[in-house]
Amino acid sequence: MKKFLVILLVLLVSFSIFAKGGKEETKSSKPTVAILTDATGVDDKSFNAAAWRGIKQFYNNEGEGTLYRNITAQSSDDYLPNLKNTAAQGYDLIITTGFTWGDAVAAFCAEYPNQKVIIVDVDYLPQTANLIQYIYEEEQGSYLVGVAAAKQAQHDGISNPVFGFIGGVPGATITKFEIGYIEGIKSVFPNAKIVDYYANSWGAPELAKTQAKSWYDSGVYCIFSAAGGTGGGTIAQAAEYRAAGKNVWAIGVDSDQYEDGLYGDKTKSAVLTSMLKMVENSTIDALTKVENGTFVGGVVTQNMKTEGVGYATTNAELCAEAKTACEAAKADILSGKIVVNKTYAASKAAGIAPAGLGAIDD
Amino acid sequence: MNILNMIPTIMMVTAPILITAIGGMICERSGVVNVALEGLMSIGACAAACTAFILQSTGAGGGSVWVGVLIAMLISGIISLIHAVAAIDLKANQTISGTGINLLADGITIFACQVLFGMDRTDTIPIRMHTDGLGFYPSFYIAIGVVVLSWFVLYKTPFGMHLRACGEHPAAADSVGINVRRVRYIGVFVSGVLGGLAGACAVMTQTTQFTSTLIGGRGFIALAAVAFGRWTPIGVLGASVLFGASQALSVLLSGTSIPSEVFNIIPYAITLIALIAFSGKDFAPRSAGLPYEKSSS
Repeated sequence: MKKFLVILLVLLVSFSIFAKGGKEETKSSKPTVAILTDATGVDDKSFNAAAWRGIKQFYNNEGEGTLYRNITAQSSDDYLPNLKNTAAQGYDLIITTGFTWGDAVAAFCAEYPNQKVIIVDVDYLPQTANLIQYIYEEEQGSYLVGVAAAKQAQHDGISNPVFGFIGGVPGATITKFEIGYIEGIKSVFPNAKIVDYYANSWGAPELAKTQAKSWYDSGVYCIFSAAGGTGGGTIAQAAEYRAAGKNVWAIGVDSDQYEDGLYGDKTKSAVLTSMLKMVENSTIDALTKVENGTFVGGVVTQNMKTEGVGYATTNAELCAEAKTACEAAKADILSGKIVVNKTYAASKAAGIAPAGLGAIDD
Repeated sequence: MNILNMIPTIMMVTAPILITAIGGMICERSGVVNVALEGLMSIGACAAACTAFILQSTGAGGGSVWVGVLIAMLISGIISLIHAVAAIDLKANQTISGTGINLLADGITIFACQVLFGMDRTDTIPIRMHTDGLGFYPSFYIAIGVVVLSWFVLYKTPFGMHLRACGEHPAAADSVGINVRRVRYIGVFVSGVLGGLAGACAVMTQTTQFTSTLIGGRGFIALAAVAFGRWTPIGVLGASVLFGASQALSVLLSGTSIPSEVFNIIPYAITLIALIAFSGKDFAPRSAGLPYEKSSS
């Protein structure tokens, strides 16, 4: 028994020495970072995956587990404990994504003023010196896909096209997508008819599919879904109809969803373009700031200027006029000639968005 | 938008609910309550999506969809046997063991996707089910076939009578030489197979890929359809069509003066009202949910 205790003690001491040594070694080079995610983890193929991609890019894929690591929370009850545990391990930076982390991050930052933290998609937390909040101007990217859809309709010789928008749960963030999209379309077709639908769920593709079929049957040309898993239904319906020879399109969101729309022999996709939101830019930006010692708390806006939003040109059927028009719109947004509205109220006041949409501005 | 155009869409939404509910009905008629329908659908959807994707990435054509459907039925059937062992042989609480499978399904499907695709969902399946000239998916004809077959087996074959007897009075069935254990095993297995078939139909007709939120409570709606349909094939058919139609109409009639929330409430409200209205009479199989203990005398 005594012998066993002695061995255990020796092991513990040696472990603690090595553990410490390992840490000091890493301190000398690049900053250390931990990304805390919700239950979906870093493989969610969208938001968290993009943030994770940025981290891996920053470290050239070297040092996972020592320089950078990810910690998945099983439920929102774990958010604050996970933040505190991570802080105790002495990481230079903690990354969180999504507004669901907002409350936990705000409470944490007040309690740990020396721990640097960033959060993506939030701009309303109390401003502290140790917290950067990254917010995206999705309306700018959505404007481009609206322009692309409208130009494609013009290219196809459709005189009076109707455009659809399918949202997940209504709210201020999704409204930015819808309003940007509408203003993009209206810049080409000032009198275009717009229809919209909110599924009140991020995971109900059957509802989006039902709506998409009904709309396509009634003559809607293109549908933009900003609805998470629900949007799969829109793309499925568009792919079925395109395979059957009907000229209709779907537009993807957040990442390039070209591959989700492949049909038939996988050479053509029903996803005309996608509104891109480059979450990786935020993680790279924060890590660079930590490395250079220029980390300053506050709100950082990601938009077209920072290449935080954009549109995808993967689909070869996207016509040249659409690309030209998108590039022109991009230049105008950069120069400030075009200012895209963020809220339904502002767009309605400007006389662009029609009344009676499902978008809300809270 | 005329009503004829709506029917194929309504049937697309209804078919998975209907197929699952028929399975749940057969299971309960044999005397075992299966609240695991939700999880069995999810497992079936995942199995079908994984199989079809893998086959199609090796160059297989439309036949891969049907291979996926068969694999889904097989895997869900096998998983349902866990419930059968717990409920029939181990005489465990059937609600608990069913809930266990529902929780297991969440983990197992995401785990499979992580292993195969490195993310929480499958990749997009390029070839899925297609509509016929009338606008119906194969899932519609499958569902109708399942209803007719279940009616025939339940009421026109000796096995159907044995099955119903096991749900009503297993001791009496046992006394005339019916193997209650075997019949109940078959009942549970059929509900698993049909749950898997329904999940496969959902993923092949309603979206492009399997996601963990795909089934989203429709297994529980099927369970409600069994009760509201009073445990008969025709009743379950009516209940499922009503529930499916209310889901589809919540979308198709959005923008009219009726708020879509009204349709979202319908399945639940009707089930509650039906349960209250029929509370005096006893339509449920008398021994559903009760383990059968063979008396030793």
